[in-house]
Amino acid sequence: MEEFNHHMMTLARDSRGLTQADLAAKLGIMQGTLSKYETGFHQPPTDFVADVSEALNYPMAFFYEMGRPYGLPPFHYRRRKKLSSKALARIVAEMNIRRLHLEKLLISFDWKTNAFIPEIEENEYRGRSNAAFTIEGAARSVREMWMLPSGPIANMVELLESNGGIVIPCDFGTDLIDAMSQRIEGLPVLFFVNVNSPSDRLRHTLAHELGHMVLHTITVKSDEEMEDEADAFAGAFLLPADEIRTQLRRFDLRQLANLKLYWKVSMGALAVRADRLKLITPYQSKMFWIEMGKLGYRKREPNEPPKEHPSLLRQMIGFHMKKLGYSLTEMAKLLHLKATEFQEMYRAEVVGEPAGGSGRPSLRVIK
Amino acid sequence: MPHRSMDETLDAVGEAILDELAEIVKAGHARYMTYRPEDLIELDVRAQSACTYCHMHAEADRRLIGRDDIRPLEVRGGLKLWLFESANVVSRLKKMDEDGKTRNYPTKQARDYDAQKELPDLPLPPVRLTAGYWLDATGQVINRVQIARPNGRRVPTWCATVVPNEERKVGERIWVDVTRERRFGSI
Repeated sequence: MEEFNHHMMTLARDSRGLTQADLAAKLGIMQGTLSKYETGFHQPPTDFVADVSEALNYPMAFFYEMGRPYGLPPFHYRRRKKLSSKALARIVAEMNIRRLHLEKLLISFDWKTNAFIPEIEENEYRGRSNAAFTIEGAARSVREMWMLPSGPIANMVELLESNGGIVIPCDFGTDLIDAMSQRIEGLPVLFFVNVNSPSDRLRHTLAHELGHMVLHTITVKSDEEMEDEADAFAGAFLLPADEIRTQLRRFDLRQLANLKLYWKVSMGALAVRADRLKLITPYQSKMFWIEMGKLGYRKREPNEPPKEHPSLLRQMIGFHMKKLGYSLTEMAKLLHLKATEFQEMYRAEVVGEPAGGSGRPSLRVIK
Repeated sequence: MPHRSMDETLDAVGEAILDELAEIVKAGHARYMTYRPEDLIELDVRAQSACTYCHMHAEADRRLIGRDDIRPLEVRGGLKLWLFESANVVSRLKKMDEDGKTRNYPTKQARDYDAQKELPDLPLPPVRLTAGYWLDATGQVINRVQIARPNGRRVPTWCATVVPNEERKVGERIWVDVTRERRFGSI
């Protein structure tokens, strides 16, 4: 067997939301012993790996997987401040595991596209008539580059997947985080999105993450500045100023609800856009949020647009199972998962099966 | 002016007609909401009410014309009404607020109608009602289908809501009194 990969152990532990002390207690060993194995200070015996494998519910092969899951370009994520660092570590671990899965799936799945998600470097950027860099200009450039017509973006997920990205729906188990994105050499740009997000929020979230990928791959700034820029980018990308300016002349809930139907963007995002474009006064903005709060729309807005379903991940799984003849157990083995976990991670809702599904029953393990 | 309580009036109209009125109102709004979003953006509240009003009447024509006991009336000035003969009730269709109050600038005919006064083509006896809808803050969802009895003053004498199908209970009326409680007896 190959060498034990201590990075995978950290990944497995984080993915289960356990601290070193938790796992040591679960295994009935000293934390120091565990620490030495996990930091690569000592090679653990096979018995220990078997115990960890059982405690963390991963097959033993998982811990012998090559590569280094951490230390890659950082994830950008859109989250609420309330999300604890432990929960975040669990989610980041899951994203890394999913990325490793993708690397495996992409070995056989032939996915090539000439389109790509550009990276804009502020100092080298030249806008229309050599104009200086602005977020509005950057968003417009991306729309132009992808030859998007004016008006709303019909399907944000499809747009990203047809331009060199891959959208991976994940069950983060919390609504405190909306999405994460990562650009790694040799892989499509990865957008991990929370399946629990309302669809209007999801569209904005994806545009926000696109903003990070366009603006913050080369230029890295403070977290707050990057988040603000990504948010401004999302607004400018989904709601171009030339068009939205006239439509926001009337600013009330009714008009925002109509605009939401048209642009498929939440009323909240429309109000933020109106604020950024200085189409409303700070007082109007404040009153709007008070009214939204009173009506309970800050948690969930009415008239959610239809959900957008990614298709690439579903195609990859389908290609392996239908074309290449992988069974469910073989798929799980390929991805170093237990079969039940494979089913859970790639269930219809997660891989983006549209409502009603394909008409076939979902796969399940027969014992 | 005939004096009949809410129960007497609505019982006389009957659940079948109330149900029909609710369907007409909902169909009018639903039709408006099928407009393309790019068109909805350009329509203000008044345009929405006007369009919905026309769709409600078109639906009412389809459902009610030719029915025994129901007669369409058009009072001079364009006020469109439906007379339910055996109940001795006449109703118009309108957008309203949660109190059952209509909020535009009424014509003379509408004011007289609300005040239960005599109108050129409408003799006194029938009780005048307004069947309508109260929208949510976004103007896209009907909060309640309501039947109100206007009185020419600020707030109608009473207002009832037609209970949606899925919330109805066997043995109970399909309407519920939603008249706002008033303090100091003032209207």
